[in-house]
Amino acid sequence: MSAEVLAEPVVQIFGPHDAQRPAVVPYAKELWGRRRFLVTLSKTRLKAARNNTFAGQLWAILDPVLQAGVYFLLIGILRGGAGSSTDRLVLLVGQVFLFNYTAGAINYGARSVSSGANLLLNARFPRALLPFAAVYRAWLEMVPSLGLYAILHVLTGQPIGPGVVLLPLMLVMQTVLGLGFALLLSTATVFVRDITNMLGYVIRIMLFSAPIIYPSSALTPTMKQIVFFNPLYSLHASYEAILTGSTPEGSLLLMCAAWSIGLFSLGVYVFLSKERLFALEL
Amino acid sequence: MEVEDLHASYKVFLGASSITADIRARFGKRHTSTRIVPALNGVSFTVPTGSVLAVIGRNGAGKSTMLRAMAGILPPTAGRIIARGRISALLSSGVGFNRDLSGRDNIELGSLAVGIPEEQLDELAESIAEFAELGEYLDLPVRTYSSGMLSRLGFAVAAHLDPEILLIDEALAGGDSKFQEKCSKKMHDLCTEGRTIVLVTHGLKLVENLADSCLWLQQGRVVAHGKPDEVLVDYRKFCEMQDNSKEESAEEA
Repeated sequence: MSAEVLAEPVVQIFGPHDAQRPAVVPYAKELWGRRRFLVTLSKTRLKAARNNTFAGQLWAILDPVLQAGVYFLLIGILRGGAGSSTDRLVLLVGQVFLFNYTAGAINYGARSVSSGANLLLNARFPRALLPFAAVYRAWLEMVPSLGLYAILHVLTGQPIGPGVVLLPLMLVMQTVLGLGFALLLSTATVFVRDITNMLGYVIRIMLFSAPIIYPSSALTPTMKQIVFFNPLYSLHASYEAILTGSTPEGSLLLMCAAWSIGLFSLGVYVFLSKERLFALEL
Repeated sequence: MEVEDLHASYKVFLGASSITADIRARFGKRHTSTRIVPALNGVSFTVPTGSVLAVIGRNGAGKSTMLRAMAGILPPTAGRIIARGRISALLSSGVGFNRDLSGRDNIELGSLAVGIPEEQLDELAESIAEFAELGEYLDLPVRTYSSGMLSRLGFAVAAHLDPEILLIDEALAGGDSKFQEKCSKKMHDLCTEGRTIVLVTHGLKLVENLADSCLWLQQGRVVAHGKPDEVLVDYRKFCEMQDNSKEESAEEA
């Protein structure tokens, strides 16, 4: 929908949906202006999702801890206990916590527009706020688990190397990647609802084809070539280096940046091209 | 507010009775699982600033689709809408209520969505709750509200967002007569302040009492647009005729 400001008082013109895509800069400014809405939407959705459970907000920590425990047990059993050292466990917990951020961004992001139909059909606002809020919700869920990991890392005497200064940059790249996924999948889900049925499988493939529940050293050269196409490979290989006290290779960082920026740009393009049609499809 | 040669349609998904019928409908030669429904067909009219336009018509006339297009939510397939002022809309599904959140959280979300500054939120929530007569329910999840409370909250939110143009779709249907009176008074106050109101309603008494002009829609086209008492005379005749012919066909059957 095209809305242009002509003069004071605000004059809006709503034209047909085959009008031009909204310009990115004014759109970004409008998004920034509604940032409080984004924060409130994420927090209230998180609150509403956990309000009816006994443990409530404690699930933010219980969930990743239980998940890490299950994977550790599984790998321990498969390897006959050989891989179940404390160092391995701590790394596994850290990687699973970080992976949950992307998984949350994908899961909440894909459903953000279709599940926000009530809001979308009743108020006019930049629609990208919905996938952005979904990613912010996934971030809010991850923050307590990162704190828990930091305590675990220090208590078990894990190394802290120079690569740790890259951690904020990696989190930014992961956020940008998550936004790319959320923008793309939320648009696609509006037109093809079946995507939400596929998400669980796609997320599991991404999990198993990145060095998350196993170290990157376990990958053979052929496997490395295959998992190269997983956007999470370079991200988690870099995290592995940081969490084990070394520095990620430059090529990994570059690949990670390329995936993040590429997917985000594609997501922005697709979302802005289609957002005016959402009201017709929901 | 001006509406010029407005055309709009929407897509509906059709169900199938069995798995095989569903597969045929989706992937067969004749793709019949979705249908485009033309809802508006060249609608044009003007609402002068500070006046109330009542939109009437039988179910499926295109009233709600038109209001959605006027709110800038549903893009038209052709034509355009020129809105001079900030729009606040109360459409069929409330103000986007999340049933698991409290009334206060929903007020906050609805207000932030339309760009109300954060510092006004607390004061706004209190005055909305007072108008909607929610009392202690303000901090309880919306799923615990009665339909009357939801209607009251919906109207209160839309009317308190300081709109220059207020679009209301059947908002008063759920409230009791006392609250309807309160809403009529609020709308009257908004009009005297120079706000424009477009009201979709089946309540013809409300049209007589409140509207400055009346638009009658039928199958996405304008049948009549003019003074409420004139349009209503013809509309009532039309409804009577339609109801009588339905009764006759039922008797014949």
